[in-house]
Amino acid sequence: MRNNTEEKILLNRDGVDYISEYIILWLKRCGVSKRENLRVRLIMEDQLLNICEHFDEKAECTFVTGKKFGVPFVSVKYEGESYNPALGYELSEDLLANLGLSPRWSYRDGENTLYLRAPRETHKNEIILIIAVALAVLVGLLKFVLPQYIISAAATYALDPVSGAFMNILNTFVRLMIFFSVITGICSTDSLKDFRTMGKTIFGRLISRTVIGTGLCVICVFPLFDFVSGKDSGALQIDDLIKLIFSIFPKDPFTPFIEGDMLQIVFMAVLIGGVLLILENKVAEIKKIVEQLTLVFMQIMESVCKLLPVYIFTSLVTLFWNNGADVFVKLWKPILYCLILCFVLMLGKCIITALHFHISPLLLFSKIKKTVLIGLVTASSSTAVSEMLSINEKKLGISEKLDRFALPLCNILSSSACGVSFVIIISYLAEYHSVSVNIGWFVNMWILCSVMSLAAPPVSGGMLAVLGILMAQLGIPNAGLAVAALLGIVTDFISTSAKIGIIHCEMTLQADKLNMINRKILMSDKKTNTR
Amino acid sequence: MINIYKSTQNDIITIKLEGRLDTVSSPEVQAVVDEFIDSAKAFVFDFNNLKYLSSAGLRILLTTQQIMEETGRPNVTVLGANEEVLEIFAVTGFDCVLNIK
Repeated sequence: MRNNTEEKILLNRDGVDYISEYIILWLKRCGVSKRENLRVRLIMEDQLLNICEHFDEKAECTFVTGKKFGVPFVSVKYEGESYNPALGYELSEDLLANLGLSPRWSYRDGENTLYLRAPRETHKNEIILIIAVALAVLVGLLKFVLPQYIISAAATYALDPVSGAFMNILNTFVRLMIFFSVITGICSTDSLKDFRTMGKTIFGRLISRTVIGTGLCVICVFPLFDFVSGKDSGALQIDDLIKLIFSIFPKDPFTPFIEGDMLQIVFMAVLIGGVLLILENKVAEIKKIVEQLTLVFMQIMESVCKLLPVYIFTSLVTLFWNNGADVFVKLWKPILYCLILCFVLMLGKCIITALHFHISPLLLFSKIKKTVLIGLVTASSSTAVSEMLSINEKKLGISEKLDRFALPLCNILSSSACGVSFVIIISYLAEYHSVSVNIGWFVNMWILCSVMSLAAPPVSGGMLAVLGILMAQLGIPNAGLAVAALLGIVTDFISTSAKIGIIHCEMTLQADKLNMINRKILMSDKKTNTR
Repeated sequence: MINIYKSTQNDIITIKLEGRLDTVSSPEVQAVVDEFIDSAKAFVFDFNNLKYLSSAGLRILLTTQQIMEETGRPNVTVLGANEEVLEIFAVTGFDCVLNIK
């Protein structure tokens, strides 16, 4: 089996099975896990079956396998009329939603192309990061054993250049990535036309809940940290607020990228995305280019972030050598606050949901505790998707149709817990580095943390890039980045867990609003077998 | 390649499958289901000797389940599925839709 394959196949039933078996062997050869192999195989099989039936088993296709930046992909090209196999068949749509994978489809010059990359394994990434942290602590302890000149040389000639280079590359591309992915995200809402009622309601609520949750956290952090007050005069602080609101508007299209002003970048992206959405088919080519650019930058970020464990290791060792174990010991405070605030947010949501349905909050929490625990242990909401679907339908009574549509959306947009962790980390760093703050600074933090929790790139290292941006925008010195990275890793487990709990509650409320819930199931306290 | 064995008892149709339920063999199985879909009280799919299940096979199970539910006979059971087939049900989330024993 060669690395890259291109084969012409008649897409009849035999052809579908042939491609399916080839995919299994190809992905196994590429070292893709059994589970991910299965997901890709099932998706492509289903889509190919749709194509096969649509074209009455007469479509000739070109089947391609290969690797891009080390990630295996499969692609099928077929000529004829424009036909997207992902649409129009309910079971296919359910399958795509459940498997959490969507092949990319495009049509150009009479040729359809279906393309799917093997998904990355998020679970493995978290384990590697934890190993990097543990190794950093061990190497950090060498400070007490090695002579000072060796420590200085290692820091100056190895550790600092490596961590500096990584952050420079990350910062170079993250602004562009966020810009293009926000535009793509907005343009993709065009596909929600078919789910007009469900899509608009859920979309709006999720974003507003993220903003509210983050705002509540900003209010809570006032008494929790020893902030250094900036200006004393109330009038000056109002002046800051006004300047802040108007500073969202950029003076030219390039300076925001040069200076890294994320609010201006996101503002431009939202504006451009909105215009592209309104212009619809007149700008189809531009939308395609934007989508492709998003893919390019996302791929670059993913490739760069493969080096994240190296950055974590080098920056934490430097931190340890410069500041001693003290800096790690003090981290209990932001971690504990994040734990408390995230779970207060989640439990608050539970209580509101329980009161709405006149059921016991304990009953509601007992139904969702399994997936909350999965999130706490894995820091990965995608790992919990299958169980979440099951709990939503079998224990919370949410209709299957709403569950399959809304859960992937909620996974992306329900970011209040993420916003909370950003606020806590930034507040801790502001306290640690004695950054002067005022009302305007807190409002800025609220807006930035809300926006960035929604726009954070869904790649390993995305959180680090976002924290770097937040720190730069809020006047926190770069020296705090290593601590931010470490806190980001730990709080990711906490915020993911809380996010899952919040999603269950939010979907239950949404289902009631849309009359898509079976209240008897929700109120039942019988243990049901979800597997 | 698939071998299909069907039996009926009190309008409960048991369809035993041996081999691979892939895209090529799925129309044969669908034909058997269609034969009894109007009259059956329940379907039992015996997967004890089934080695492989494709998306096409999954569709047969789900559409059968859907039709039976819509006509007030929500009784489709899958018996004796092996680990690989069970994993397909788990990964697709259809283990909470189908009655699996």
